[in-house]
Amino acid sequence: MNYIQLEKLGEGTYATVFKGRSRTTNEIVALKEIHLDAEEGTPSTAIREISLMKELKHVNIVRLHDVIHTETKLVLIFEYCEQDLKKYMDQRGDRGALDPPTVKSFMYQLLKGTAFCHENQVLHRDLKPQNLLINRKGELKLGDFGLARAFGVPVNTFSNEVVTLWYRAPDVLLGSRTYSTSIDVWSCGCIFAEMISGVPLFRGRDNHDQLLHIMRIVGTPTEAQFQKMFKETPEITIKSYPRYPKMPLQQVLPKASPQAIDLLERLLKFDPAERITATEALLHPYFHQTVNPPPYGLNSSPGSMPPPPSNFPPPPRQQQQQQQHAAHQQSAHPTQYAPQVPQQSYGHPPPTHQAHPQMHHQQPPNVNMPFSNVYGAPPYGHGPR
Amino acid sequence: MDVEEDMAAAQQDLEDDVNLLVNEQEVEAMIGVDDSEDEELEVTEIAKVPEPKAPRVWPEVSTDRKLKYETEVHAIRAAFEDEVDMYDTTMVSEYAEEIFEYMGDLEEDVMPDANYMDGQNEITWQMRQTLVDWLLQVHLRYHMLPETLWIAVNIVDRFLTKRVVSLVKLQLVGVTAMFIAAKYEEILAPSVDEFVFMTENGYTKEEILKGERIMLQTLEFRVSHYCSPYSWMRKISKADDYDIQTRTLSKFLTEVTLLDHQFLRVKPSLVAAVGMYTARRMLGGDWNDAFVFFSGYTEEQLMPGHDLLVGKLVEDNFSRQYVCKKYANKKFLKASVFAIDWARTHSGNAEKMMLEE
Repeated sequence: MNYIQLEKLGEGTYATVFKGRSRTTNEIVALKEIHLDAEEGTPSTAIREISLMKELKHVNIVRLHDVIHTETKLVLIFEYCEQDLKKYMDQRGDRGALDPPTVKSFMYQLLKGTAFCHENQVLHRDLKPQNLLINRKGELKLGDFGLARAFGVPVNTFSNEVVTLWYRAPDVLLGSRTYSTSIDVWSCGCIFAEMISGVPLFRGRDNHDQLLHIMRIVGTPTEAQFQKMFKETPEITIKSYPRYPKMPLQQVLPKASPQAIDLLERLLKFDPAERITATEALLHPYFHQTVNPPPYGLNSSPGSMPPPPSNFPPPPRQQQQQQQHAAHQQSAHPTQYAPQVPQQSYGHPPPTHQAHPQMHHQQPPNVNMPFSNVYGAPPYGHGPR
Repeated sequence: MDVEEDMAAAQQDLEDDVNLLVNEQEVEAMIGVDDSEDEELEVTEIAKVPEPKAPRVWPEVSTDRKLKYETEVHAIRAAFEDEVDMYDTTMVSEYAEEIFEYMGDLEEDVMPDANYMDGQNEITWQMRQTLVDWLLQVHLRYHMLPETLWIAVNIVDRFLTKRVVSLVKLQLVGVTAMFIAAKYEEILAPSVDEFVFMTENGYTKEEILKGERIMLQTLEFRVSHYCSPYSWMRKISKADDYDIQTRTLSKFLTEVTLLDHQFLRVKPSLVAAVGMYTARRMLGGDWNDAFVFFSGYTEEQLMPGHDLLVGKLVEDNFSRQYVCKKYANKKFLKASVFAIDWARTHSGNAEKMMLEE
């Protein structure tokens, strides 16, 4: 093989991920090894992932370099990213919460990657912190397209078994099969809130409980709103739900700026038809009032924001708290959020103490999702086919 | 995007391509896609691999003419304001414009070589038609999604563009293509055993699985639904507010184009427009500005395709094709019966008129 296999990064039912090094260029890569099923051959997830990722070339999407296909296995060679967002929040955040400039930079890049997928007729269908990879330049990249699929215009009927529970849109929870780009937008909203607060926003135990968690915050839709959704997606089932009033998001996320709250409101609309698109979200004042031009020549590739203030190595705890304290105090003065010019950390090796992404992330209690890793094993890979 | 970025991106693309190339050789060495395996499968690389040329998009017209068409379409577009259908969420109207633009760029990328049969030794276009008709049967029997059939036929044609296949393995290529297409597109794809059953045990499970590997490698995993005309048809349907008769007839007519190799060089957007135009003609409607606007084609541009399609319908024994049986069903408003009758009447007239002249 053209690559030297290094240590294992993670393992799932569908694939094993190794760190690897190219024999020719010495480049560090991630090797995703997919076991070929003697019964059914190449998994459909792999066919979709490879065919879609070959078309998706964007800074905010993990680049597929190569595919090696043998009788017993399929190896996908991806660009290497040091860690995933979940791990990043655990290690660098203040009890998981990231500082406002980092949140803004990551959110911008997340929406950029998502918008690119949608413009290219691809639904990711499994956006969550574990599937967002962060490299040492502070670039965020969408990874694990094992659940992704292409959609036509009009959209066809899809499987309802998508997206990890905590990030699953309410219309999908209600049984929608004609969902579209808006399901990824919902997940983006959940991730946004999680980066701000450090904890997942809606932590349901099962489908129904998840809906209740959502309603407790965004409010139970009115009868008229439910009827409208039912008319547009007749396959959904609407039961009777407790009448929760809408909770002010500022109360849920006291640390968030008013603009962040406004964007979040638009991402987390219960009715998918009312949800903002990823492209529209990128134009939201949250990103644009305060953005500084990127530093000279650095990171001028399309789609990436200035990286977050270099967190390698992580700032001392104290300093981080000060930052957040300041941000909180000055939430009325958005200029505070201007991304800082990154330190000259480009091309430097990552600090040696950096651990490899571990496999013991906190997981939503989803029976169908026993495992996830950096490059992710699809939670439903072993579902009925 | 500025120039520098463009260049950087191009450089990156180049590097990626190089990587893939190196890898391909390695893969072949690794799994032994060499003479011995080829012999066993009776699939051999075409001795002289045809240059990857730009697909010949049909009909080929002179630059002047092309310009004239473009001006006409442009004029109609400017005069015709599209009210974006905000309420039709399945049309993903927020992205519709970008998506159709992107599809326009990509649809030519997945077209096979329209003359690939020149490089084949044992098989013929007639055999291809038989294979496609059989795939259509299998597709209907297993209630697969409409796109799956198009993806499967596209995989067959692109594979045959690159590999020489013996007659005895042609059906294996077809069934394997359907197996891959179903995995790509369906929510629940039939199992490999069902595909073995479809061929009446003509091939083993191992043959299909091995075929899958070889086909995916040959196509470099490029499986795509851009070969299907449905998105375009749906867009054109806005012009008559989704008239069900026109749509059903047009679905039959576009499926007929799948059988005829002469349509291999026709872009999916043009296949959709020819299907809709012919359906309109058959039902006595005209190709008004709304149709030109939504399809991007004027009547004059669609005439050659229309004639080809009508010619296909009146071919001897064409009504015995499975596609005609499928659409003779009440469920499809007996579209095939109506269309073939119309074609016989009208192409007969055309001949008579020519004789009289």
